[in-house]
Amino acid sequence: MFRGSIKLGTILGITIRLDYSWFIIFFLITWSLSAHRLPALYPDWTPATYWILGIITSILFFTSVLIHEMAHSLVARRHGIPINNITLFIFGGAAQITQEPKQAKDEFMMAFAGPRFDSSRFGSEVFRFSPRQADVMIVAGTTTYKMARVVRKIYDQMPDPKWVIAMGACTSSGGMYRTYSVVQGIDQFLPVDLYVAGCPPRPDNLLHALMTLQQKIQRRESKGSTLGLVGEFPHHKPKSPIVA
Amino acid sequence: MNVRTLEKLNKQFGSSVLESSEFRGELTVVVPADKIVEVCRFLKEDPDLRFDLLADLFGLDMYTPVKRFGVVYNLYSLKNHHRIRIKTFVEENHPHVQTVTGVWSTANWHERETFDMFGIIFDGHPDLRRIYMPDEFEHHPLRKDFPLMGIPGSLYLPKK
Repeated sequence: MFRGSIKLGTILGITIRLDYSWFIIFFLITWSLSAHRLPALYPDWTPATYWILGIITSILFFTSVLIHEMAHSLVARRHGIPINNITLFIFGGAAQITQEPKQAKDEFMMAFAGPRFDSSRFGSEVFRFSPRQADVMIVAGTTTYKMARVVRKIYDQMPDPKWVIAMGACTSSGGMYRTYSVVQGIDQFLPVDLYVAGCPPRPDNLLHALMTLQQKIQRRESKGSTLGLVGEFPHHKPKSPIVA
Repeated sequence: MNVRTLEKLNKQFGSSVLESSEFRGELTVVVPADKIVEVCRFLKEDPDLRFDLLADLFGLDMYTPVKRFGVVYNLYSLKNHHRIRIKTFVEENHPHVQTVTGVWSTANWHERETFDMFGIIFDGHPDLRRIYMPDEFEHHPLRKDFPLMGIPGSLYLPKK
């Protein structure tokens, strides 16, 4: 795709490249700024000022594109997907990932936190990679008897108060896996607060579950934690209700 | 190629070849359980045949009073681009077959799987443990008399 390109340098182990087609868009942006936009806004400047300012603005614009692509690359690398290089070309920038995400979970979490199904709009943004820092566990996928003790151990590591969401038909009821090796619903060994329907569930379905969970927290309810630890302590009453 | 393979087997093992059939160009040969290692080694090491790839090894439960369990070996010859299927059957009260790990190392995990799922014991196997189910599990799930939803309480589940 990017055969004719110039290597600019390397940032955090990711090579930054400049495609030849980039010069066309760079010139177009600079020209539209210097010849039209800036003279219209500031009619009393000299032509040299227009052009210098146009070039500086274009460079800053493409720096922001680069930072945007760096953010993509660093998230992907955090999930174990190596990034080869970032190329700036006529349509903007592109980060070249060397492979697709290994697990559907990673893909789902990227989409779930991304702009289309923006979970941060509803107050849940931070993914923790350790159960010891988590309040909610989302169990996604078929749970076998062999995996059950592992899931239970993760749950036991979470600090009180804690909540569990069973995501999808397989987790909630065994789903289509009606067989000896699959636990027919994780509520056989975990206290489950919410069940998300679907096989697989749509992202908006999970968002709805998160909002329902927030209502549940406001009502001070939790299947797994003792009530005194949810939002209040026996010796300390908050003046205003805690909004999660 | 099928004719040549069968001729060679008949010449080498004579009456040991119990039965053979051909379906859509694929040869299937049934041999007695005590001859399985010799037959496999011959098929692999004969310079003309060279069935040097064990493509698959799996168990069967015929659920019959005699010769209930079977083991099937799918072989492939990289030299001739040719396939052959070897079958052997054992009795329910003595489900023992000699291991072919000495012929193809890849049989190791295949035989562990067959042992795990059917309870067929491969004599001489270097490490015959369960491969899927937990070690303390007492049944063999792919046997026909094993219920689909399992036996309640036979698998450990953490307490709620």
